[in-house]
Amino acid sequence: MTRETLVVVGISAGSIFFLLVATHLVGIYIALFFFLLFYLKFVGRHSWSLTITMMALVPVIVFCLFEWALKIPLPKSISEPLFYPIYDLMYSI
Amino acid sequence: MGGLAQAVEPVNLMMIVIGCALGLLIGAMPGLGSVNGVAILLPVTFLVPPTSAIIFLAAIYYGAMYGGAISSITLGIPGASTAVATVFDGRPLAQQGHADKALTAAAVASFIGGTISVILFTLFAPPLAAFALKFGPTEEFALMVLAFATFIGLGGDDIPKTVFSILIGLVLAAVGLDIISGQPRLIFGNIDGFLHGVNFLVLAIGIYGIGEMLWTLETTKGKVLVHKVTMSVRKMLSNLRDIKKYIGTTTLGSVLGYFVGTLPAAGATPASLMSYGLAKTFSDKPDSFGKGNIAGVAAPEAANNAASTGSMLPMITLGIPGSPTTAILLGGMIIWGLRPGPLLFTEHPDFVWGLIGSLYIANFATLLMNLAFIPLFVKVLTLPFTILAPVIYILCVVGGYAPTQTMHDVWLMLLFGVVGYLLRKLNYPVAPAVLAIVLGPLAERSLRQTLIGSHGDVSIFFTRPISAICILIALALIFYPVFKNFRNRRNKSGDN
Repeated sequence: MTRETLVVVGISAGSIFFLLVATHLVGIYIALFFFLLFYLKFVGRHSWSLTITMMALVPVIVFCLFEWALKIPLPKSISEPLFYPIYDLMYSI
Repeated sequence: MGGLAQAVEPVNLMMIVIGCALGLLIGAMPGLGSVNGVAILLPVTFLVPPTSAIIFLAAIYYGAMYGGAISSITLGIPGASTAVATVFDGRPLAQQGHADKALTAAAVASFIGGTISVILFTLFAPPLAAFALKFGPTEEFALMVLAFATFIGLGGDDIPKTVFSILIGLVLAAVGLDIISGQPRLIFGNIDGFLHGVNFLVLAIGIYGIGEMLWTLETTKGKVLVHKVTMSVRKMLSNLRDIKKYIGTTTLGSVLGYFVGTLPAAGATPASLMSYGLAKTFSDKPDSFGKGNIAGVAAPEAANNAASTGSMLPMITLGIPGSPTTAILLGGMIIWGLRPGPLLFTEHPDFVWGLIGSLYIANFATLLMNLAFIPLFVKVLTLPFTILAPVIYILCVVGGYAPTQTMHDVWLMLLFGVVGYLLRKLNYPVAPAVLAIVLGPLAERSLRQTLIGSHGDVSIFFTRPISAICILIALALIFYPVFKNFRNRRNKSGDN
C-alpha cells in the first residue's frame, strides 16, 4: 500500500466517517450539505456553480424521496425543529 | 387467454405501465426493494377493483426485480436484495466498458426468466404446489448445503479463502436472537443494535457500495472510473445477439429460480444466489466468474424474476407467502375480500388468470422500458468520478439506513465497507460471505427444525430421498477439487 493510495482511500473513508458523525450531531441534511461541499469543491475541484447546484439539489431530492414519497424519516438530530414547517406543509396538502 | 385479454384492458394496461415504472425506480434505489414499494402503495389499490389492484402491485414487484439490476451494474451497489448476485459480474463488466452488454443481458434474461416461469405457472400450478409442500425442513437444509457447495466446488477462487469467506458470513448470520431459545447471541457485550441481527443488505451495500468504491479508487487513483460506452442501434442488436452465450444458464436459472420461489420462505434472493452458483458450476470457464462473465449477470436475473412469479404460486394456491413481498400481497388479497387457497382458482378465475396474464404483460413492458433506457443508464457511468463517488456514498448511507432505520446499521455498513476493501485487497472472494449471510438463517432454522424432529439423529438427511440426492451432489461438488488435484498430481508424477 503506497502513500498515494492511502491518501486517496483515506479521504473517501474519512469523509464518510465524518458524514456519519455530523449526522449524529446536526442531522443528515445539514451533514449532506457539508459532505458535498467538501467532496465536490476540495477533493474534486469542481466549479462553484456545480458545487452549489449539487448542494441544493441532493438534500432536496433525498428529502422528497424518503420523507415525502416513502415516509421514511431520516435522522435529523438537533435540526429537527427546522423541519416542522415543511412537515406542516407536506401534511396539509 | 381470458387472462391476457383482461390484462390488456386500458385501465389494467395503464396500471401495468405505471407500476413497472415505479417498480424500476424503487428497485434501483439501494436499500429499497419490491417489499417497500408494494407496502407503501398497497393503500392506493383500495380505490380500484381487486384485479386491477393486484395487477398494479404485481407490476411493481416485477419492475423492482429489473430495477435492482440497474444500480447493481452501473453503480455497483445492489439496488435490491434480489440483485446482490448481479453485482458479482455486472460491476466488473461495467468497469471494462461493457455496461450496455450487462444491462441488455439483465433485461433479456429477466424476460426469459419471467416467460419460463409464467409458462410453468400456467401449466403446472396445482401439482407444483403439492410438490413444494413435500419440501420439509430436511429437504430445505439439503438444498442450502447444495447452494454452499456450488460456491466451493469448481469455483475458480482459492478454496480455503472461499470457505473462510462463507464462515464470516455464517458468523454474521448468527448474530442476534437465537431462533429457537430466544437467547441473544454474539451481541458484543450488550449493544442493542445487534439484537435484531446483521441485516444482510447492510453487509451487501457496505461491501459492494463502499468497499468496491474504495477499491476502484485505489486501482484508478480517482482518475477514470469506467470506459466510455457509445450506444447505437447496431450495437444494441449485436448485444441482443450475445444471447446465445447465456441462453443455457438462463433457462436453467429460470427453472431453478421458479422452483426455489415456490418454496415457502425461500424467495428471490436465495434463488438468484443459487442460480449464480449453478451457472458457475456448469460453465466451461468457472474462473471467469466474478471477473465479468455475462452468464454471471444473466443467471441471477433470470432466477430472481422466475422466483417472483414462483412465489405467487404458494400464495394463490395454498395461501402461504413465498417471500416478504407476497406476504404483503396476501394481506392485500384478504382486504380486497378474496380468500387465497385452492378454491380461488374456481371461485375467482378472472382474478387468478388476470394476474397471470398481467405478469406476462408486465414482463414485456419492463423489457421494453429497460432496453429503451439503457443509453440513459450508461450515461451515468460517464460522469466524472468526483461527482459519482459522493452520490454513491450518499446512496449507500441512506440505503443502509432505510431498511431498519437505525444509525447503528449505517456505522456497521461503513465498517463492512472498509473490511470488504481489505478483503478485496488480500484477494478474498466476498460473494460467498453475502451468500452465507442470506442462506445462513434459512439453513440454521431448517437444520434445527429437522434435528428437533428427529431427536438429534443426523441420518434423516440420508434416508429421505430428495435430501439424500441433494447432499450427495453437494458432497461430490465439494470433493471434486480435491479429486482433481490428486489426479493432476498423479498425472504429473506419471509423466516424470
